Amino acid sequence: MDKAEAQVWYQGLTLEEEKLWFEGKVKSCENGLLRFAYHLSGNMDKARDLVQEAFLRAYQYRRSYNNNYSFESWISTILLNVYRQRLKKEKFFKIFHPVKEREDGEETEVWDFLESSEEGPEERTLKREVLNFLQKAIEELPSQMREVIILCDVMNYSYEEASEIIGCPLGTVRSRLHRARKKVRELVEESYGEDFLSAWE
Amino acid sequence: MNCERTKKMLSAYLDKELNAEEYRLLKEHLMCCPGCQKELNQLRALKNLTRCLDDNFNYHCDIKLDWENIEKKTKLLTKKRIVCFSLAAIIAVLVLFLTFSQEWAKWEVEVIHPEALVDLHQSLSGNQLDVSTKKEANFIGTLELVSGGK
Repeated sequence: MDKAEAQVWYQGLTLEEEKLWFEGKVKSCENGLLRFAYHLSGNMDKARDLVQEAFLRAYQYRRSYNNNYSFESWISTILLNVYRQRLKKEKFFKIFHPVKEREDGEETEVWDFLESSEEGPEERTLKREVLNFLQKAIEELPSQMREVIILCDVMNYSYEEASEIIGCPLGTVRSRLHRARKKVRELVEESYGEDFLSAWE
Repeated sequence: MNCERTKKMLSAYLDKELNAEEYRLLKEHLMCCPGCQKELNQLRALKNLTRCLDDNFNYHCDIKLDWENIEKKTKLLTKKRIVCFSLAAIIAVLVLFLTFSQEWAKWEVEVIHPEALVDLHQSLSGNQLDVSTKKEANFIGTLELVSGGK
């Protein structure tokens, strides 16, 4: 399929058919999108709101979608842009109304999946603590590094998929990820000692 | 390959995102360098731990597309676009009008009434021009006269 052919996917479709097409596409990637939004915002309410906004914008600009690319990557890019805009706004308003990042009650995750693991209670407690620490460390990374580490490490996307979503070259993804991991590793080693990760393998 | 270069590429090696040549060189270095091998293992442990952050995600997306709201907002966006486009068009027309009206005023003095420039030249230089010269004065000639006068 060449580019010209791909760009007119909506040709011959009625508005109702376009809506059906859109609904089908959205259904296929909504969970991935919610996961991405959740890891970016660290909050389920915010994540749902982000996904809603991304769906709305995607529908409004649906005709700019090129069939040659994955729909999930395209809509993830939209979501990322919505998130970046909101972050900018939040930062701007924080100048006037400084607030704490997280409320105290929100500070720790439950990590339900650990309960069903075969590890002992001590190991589980330590892992829980380390995961909380890791989550905080990732939250504090500069946004460019954060986006890459969330896509490649947390969500296990390939460099190519990440570069498509972020809209930067493959080499940039590689170097940002390298720097992000280095930074997180340094933070872990500062708090838990140099050989902590070696022992964790 | 030295340790410094290897360390920069360890991340991509771990993710299998190197080309065949880079991969081969790095593997060769890792076989004989325990320091880099240790660093690779630490990176792998960190990657596995980070991956666990996603294991906790057990929510299901229950978002329903609210078509009524979507349609409403889409219409609003279309209206906004029309307003913005109209405003941009009005501003562009105004800018063009102002620019051309100034150019037209200059052109009118220089081409339609070149005598005005000849008179200016005379008053500046104090030289009197004869009638035939005045008659032959056109835009280019007038400019030459003015520049000659300086």
